[in-house]
Amino acid sequence: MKTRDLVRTAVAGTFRNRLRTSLTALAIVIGAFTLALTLAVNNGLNSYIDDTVATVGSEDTLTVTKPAGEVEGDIVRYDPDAPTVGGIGSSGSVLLGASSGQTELLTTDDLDTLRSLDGVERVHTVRPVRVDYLQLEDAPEADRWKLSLSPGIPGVRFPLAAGTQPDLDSDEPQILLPRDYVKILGLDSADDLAGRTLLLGVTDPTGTQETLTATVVGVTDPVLTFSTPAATPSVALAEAIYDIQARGLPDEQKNRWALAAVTVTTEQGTPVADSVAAVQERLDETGFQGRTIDDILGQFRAFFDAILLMLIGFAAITLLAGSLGIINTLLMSVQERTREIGLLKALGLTSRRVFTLFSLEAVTIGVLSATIGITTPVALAPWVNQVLAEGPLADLPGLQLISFTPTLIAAVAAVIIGIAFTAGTLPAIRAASKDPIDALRHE
Amino acid sequence: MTSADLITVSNVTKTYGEGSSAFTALRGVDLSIARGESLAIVGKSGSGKSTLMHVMALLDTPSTGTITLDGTDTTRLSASRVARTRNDTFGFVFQQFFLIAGASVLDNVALPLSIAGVSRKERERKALAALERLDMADKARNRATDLSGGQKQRVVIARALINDPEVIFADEPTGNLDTATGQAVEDTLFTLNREQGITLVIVTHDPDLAAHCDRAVTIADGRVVADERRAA
Ligand SMILES: Nc1ncnc2c1ncn2[C@@H]1O[C@H](COP(=O)(O)OP(=O)(O)OP(=O)(O)O)[C@@H](O)[C@H]1O
Ligand SMILES: [Mg+2]
Repeated sequence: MKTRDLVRTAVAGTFRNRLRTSLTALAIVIGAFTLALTLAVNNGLNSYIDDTVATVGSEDTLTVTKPAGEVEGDIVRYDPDAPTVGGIGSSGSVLLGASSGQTELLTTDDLDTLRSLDGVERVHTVRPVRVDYLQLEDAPEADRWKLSLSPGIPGVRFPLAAGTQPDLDSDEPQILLPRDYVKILGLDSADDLAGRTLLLGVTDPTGTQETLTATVVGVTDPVLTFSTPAATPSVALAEAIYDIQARGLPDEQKNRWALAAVTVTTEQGTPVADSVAAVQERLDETGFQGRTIDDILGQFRAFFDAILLMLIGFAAITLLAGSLGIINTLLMSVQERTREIGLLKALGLTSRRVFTLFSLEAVTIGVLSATIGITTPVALAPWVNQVLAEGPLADLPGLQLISFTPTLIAAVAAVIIGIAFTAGTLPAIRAASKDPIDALRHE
Repeated sequence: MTSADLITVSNVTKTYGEGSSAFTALRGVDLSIARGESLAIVGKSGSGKSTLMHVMALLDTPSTGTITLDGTDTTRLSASRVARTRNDTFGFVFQQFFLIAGASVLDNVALPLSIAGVSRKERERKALAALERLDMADKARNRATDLSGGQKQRVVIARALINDPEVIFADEPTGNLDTATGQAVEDTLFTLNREQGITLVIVTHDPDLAAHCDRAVTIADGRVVADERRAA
């Protein structure tokens, strides 16, 4: 029998008992739907996290802080003898997820230690800076707002709603503002904010407030991990702020840094992660704490992975039940069509072809189920994503929660059809092994 | 054994089941069928007529003994070779109609060609021609299940001759039909035998039908007890 005729016969056979086929397919449809949706969400979250990783830090960069004492878990034990940090807070640690007060400022000695560590290529320093307020240049004094600063680190790229990434090395005082400030400052869109000049209030150690100007080079979208929207100053701006903040302080107090970003020397042939881990260990031994962006995002991944694993488990259970349905339906079908199978074999259809015929019936159910079970979420995804983006996920622009790729669709379809084929094996063997005579004598 | 013999049955036995429930349906049958012959197999119910026909038609294998087809010992043939032989050398009319329920008359008639892998166009052309011969062309597009008993039997015969077989095996071809329809079916079979030289092997209870055949073999208890040729 020609393959085309086999397929035609199999499809016709599948649809002979429409209700039974539909109900059997329904179970697989539900499994396919769950699996497709789960994997699409997994894909959506992971690419979002990956984007975030790419945004927040390059993989060869460690952000180094100095715990202010003995660390247990992520918390530092209070030490009454530890040097207090007069006047200068370590606001830069927002990025690191460590709350201020838990870390000590870095000294010139510390930086020298870091520079001399094996495997450290470059040390980028970040001043502990903070501003009292920000204000649009031409706005009234009533429109002043508080602002947290988060340091710019080489290799870090931010998700932008408008403008450009800050040029850290520029001599211009530049700043990157979170999108949250658009509305607060009475503007309509991020584009209105980008390019504007800001006034920043900074207080010196004597309590005198001064004003600095800075240009908003870009407006950032929020990033998954950060609860406080923070602005990123360019190095020039940070130094200008620090000059005021630390004015008149003795050098010993003045030469302090909030943190350092350490770029790890990468070697040909060694995975970057290995080099990073080695440096991380050395930092730990010398009393520093170095965290990669993956350390910070790892817990999010683990959390999502656990949920997704559970959902995949549900899908697997549904598919198992569904494949039992296919086995059952096809066994019934083989039993009912014993005489037809006997006739086909008597008229010269080989056992192998009979096997193929019934396997194709199973595959037909699989194809049908996969088509419905996958196209439904694919068709609904844009709509659901939009509803989510306007509702619960409004704060996470760029997150396409349900994200299908052609590979994903093909993989799910292959899994479903593979499961259907496997489930069809037993009934197909049954059919193929029928003796034409027994089948013809069958009442 | 002469070269004109198409099918030779030598010392064939057939035992169903095993041990205490074993039943021997054929107990050493020797029979030669010449090309172009029309042979009736008669005997009481349960005597082994259908069993003998199935063995000769390569639908079943003998427990001992050999079936030789056109000089070839069929017990040595592979399963797929046997299947192909059934498909292109034999035509079948079974004790029941065996039509595929949902399929059209045309598709039912064309089934052997579809199994053989003939293109759709070609097999529809041949199936229509076969139906034409049996005056059934107007029912080609009907569903097989919607036909009367006599019409179904004519469809079955159309199916049996669509592949231009050398032998048609018919098990009680007129058993389920009224006399007039039975007569028409009988006429068709003998016309094929006469005009196309198709060998007929007909299992029957009907003495009239048996009398029309060139030769009648009587089976009793799994043995050939009589082998009569019709006086020419
Ligand atoms: N699969 C089987 N297992 C056991 N016994 C069988 C089997 N098939 C047939 N028989 C027995 O073999 C004997 C011959 O059966 P067969 O069908 O050849 O008879 P028959 O001559 O064609 O009868 P009828 O005229 O009623 O069709 C019967 O007694 C039957 O019960
Ligand atoms: Mg019989």
